[in-house]
Amino acid sequence: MKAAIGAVVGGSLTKSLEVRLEGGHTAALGQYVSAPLDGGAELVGMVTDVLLRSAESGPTSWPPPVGEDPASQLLREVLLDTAVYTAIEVNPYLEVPDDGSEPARARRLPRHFAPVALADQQSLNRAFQVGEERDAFRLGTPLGMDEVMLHVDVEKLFERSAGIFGKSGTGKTVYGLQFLDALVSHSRRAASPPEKTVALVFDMHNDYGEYIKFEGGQRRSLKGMHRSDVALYTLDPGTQVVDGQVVIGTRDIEPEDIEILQSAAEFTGAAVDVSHECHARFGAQWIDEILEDDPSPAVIRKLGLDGDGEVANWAKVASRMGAHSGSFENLRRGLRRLVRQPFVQRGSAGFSGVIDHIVRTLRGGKSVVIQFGRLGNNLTGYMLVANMLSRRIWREYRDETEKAHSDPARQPNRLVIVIEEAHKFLDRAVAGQTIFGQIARELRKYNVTLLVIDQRPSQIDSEVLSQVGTKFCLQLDSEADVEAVVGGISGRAGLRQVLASLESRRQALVFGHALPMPVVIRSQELTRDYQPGASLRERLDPTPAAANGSGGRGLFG
Amino acid sequence: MGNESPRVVEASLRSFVCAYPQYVEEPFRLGQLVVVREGRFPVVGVVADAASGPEDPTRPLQPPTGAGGRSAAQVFAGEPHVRLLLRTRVTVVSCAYVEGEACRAVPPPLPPPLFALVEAPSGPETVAATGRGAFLAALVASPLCDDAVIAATLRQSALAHGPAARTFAVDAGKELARLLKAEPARLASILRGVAT
Repeated sequence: MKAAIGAVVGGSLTKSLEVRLEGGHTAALGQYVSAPLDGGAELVGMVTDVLLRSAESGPTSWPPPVGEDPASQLLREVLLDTAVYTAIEVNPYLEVPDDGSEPARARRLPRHFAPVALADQQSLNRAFQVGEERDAFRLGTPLGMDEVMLHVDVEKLFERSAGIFGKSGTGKTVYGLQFLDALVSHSRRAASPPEKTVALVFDMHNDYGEYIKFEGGQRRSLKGMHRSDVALYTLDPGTQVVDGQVVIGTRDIEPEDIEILQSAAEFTGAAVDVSHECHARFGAQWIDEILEDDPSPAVIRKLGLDGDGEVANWAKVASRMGAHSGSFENLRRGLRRLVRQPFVQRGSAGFSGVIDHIVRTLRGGKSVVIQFGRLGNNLTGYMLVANMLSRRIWREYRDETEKAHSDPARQPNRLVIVIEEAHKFLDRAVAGQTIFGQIARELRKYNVTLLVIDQRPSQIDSEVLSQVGTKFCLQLDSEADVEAVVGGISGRAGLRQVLASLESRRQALVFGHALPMPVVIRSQELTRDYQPGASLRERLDPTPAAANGSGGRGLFG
Repeated sequence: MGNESPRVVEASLRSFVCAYPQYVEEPFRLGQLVVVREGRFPVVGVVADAASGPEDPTRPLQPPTGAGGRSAAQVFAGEPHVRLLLRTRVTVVSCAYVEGEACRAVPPPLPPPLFALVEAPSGPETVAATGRGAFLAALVASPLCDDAVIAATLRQSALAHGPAARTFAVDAGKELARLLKAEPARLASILRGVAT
């Protein structure tokens, strides 16, 4: 029997429930409470506000003296929890039946004076439907409820795209690492590669390789924890190659890859149009052609400039293609900068081979981390690589998924693409063109979803953001970012208050597809002895062999 | 003879008057809890007033002649018959009664019997009767009880609660706060009387 902390005194299903706290009890923002409903069910909700109320106006109009004399002390003590009291506002989220059937959105309220208690582990497990028979990601402990651990069904979490949002230094990367740790640990249990969920991580700051820098020291990271289940690729030629190196040939770059770089590489809109024109006229080697000092005979011939008797130059080429020479030069300048990147080579550099290798690795059930080494601060390079790889890998998945309609055995395993600085790929201007916008909008159609990690969610196209299924929101400073994250969901006024009250580290508001109701949690700590799979609560295996193993309980306990 | 307990001489459901057989200098004190054990329902009450005077109200008391500079005690010692012509009467507001094992903090269903003895309750009886302050409702509702009576009652009852006196005072104060929710100034006045 849970100890009541107060009683229902009013409220509304569409707004919030008001609970008057009993003397000596407190409740904090983000805590979960439960109250009995008629007919053997329980309402579970979250504290979204704490109120100081007075039963009558007298005590607050004429408050007791602040002195420490016995009379004043007694008067204050007497008035507390009688004439004045503390109340909490609770967002009613779920109706959890006692018979173990599926929880549903709350459609009724407890009666007046129904006892309200802090929710316990059992209530929350029932609410989140994470019994012992399913693997679950350990989200963390609800604020102020250190004895309770919240879990979320791993399968459901990876089912749709997810996002981790928070300003710099709030712990996005640590959350991302724990998320991926759970993903890899969960996949290891799968019987065959097609059943494994894998991740393709574009690791801008080298956080998901062997080690991650953390609080002045370092911790084992994804590759370090799951050596045989994670393949490490690098773009930096100066880095020791672990599983492979990514090199891009200029012939692999398509105009769609230039589009996404428009703002990062300072291409004008007209220059992007010219890139399409060049690609159409000069084919796969279009970049090599236009980066020559003078137009090649092939270019001159293709444009029909060889018959006019004048010396052909790039201005004439631009003119013949109907482009402004300034735009043409803008394109050439940008491409010159691009080919100076250490991972870009002129001509064909075996990029297709790298793609094939990565796809085979992913299909084989291994996750892939692509590290940028010393190039991590080069946003243009990051965006180019992430977009090029993702687009081509997505095409492979799309083709396989479509073939699987007639041959289910070809169904590819589930892929989660992890991108940082996501707003650069998903802002309003480019979200329509990038592969990431398309993946987000298509949901899980081709078994590919996103994990976006970003500090400026307000910069992400709202349509894309609305397709992010589960959102992990750490502290956000900007009002626009807060609004972007919680906008459009019911009870957002309360959630906005909760989000505004988060501390700068290890506290997050999590809500969306994988959770039946929003949760405010303190995440697990990344300790020195953090073990692989520590963020995964594995299901209790009911087989006799497992029961007799080290985790099971023997005949005599 | 001077220590003889008073007896009920007037009784109603809400209050009763008890009288000592003679004049006593120190009758039950203001706010003190008293109990009438006789009758079907033993009654617990609170002393709201005490008055001393002539047995026959038509014959007002005159200062003794030739008393000179003698004190009251010397006067009574010199003229012991005078004490028998005087009476001390105590007005009590009923605030609880006992039914079986339970002490109910409401006025009794029957008035206490006339001539029944009125006594001070034991410590445990006081604790049982005052509990968390439920008995205060009858006092607040009675026109016979002013703030001083309530404050004195709380102060004296707290003594019976021993180490839990402070807890009793706070609990009873909270009950009083509910009863006087529209009169914060009166509540403050009573609690000031309790704390001091």
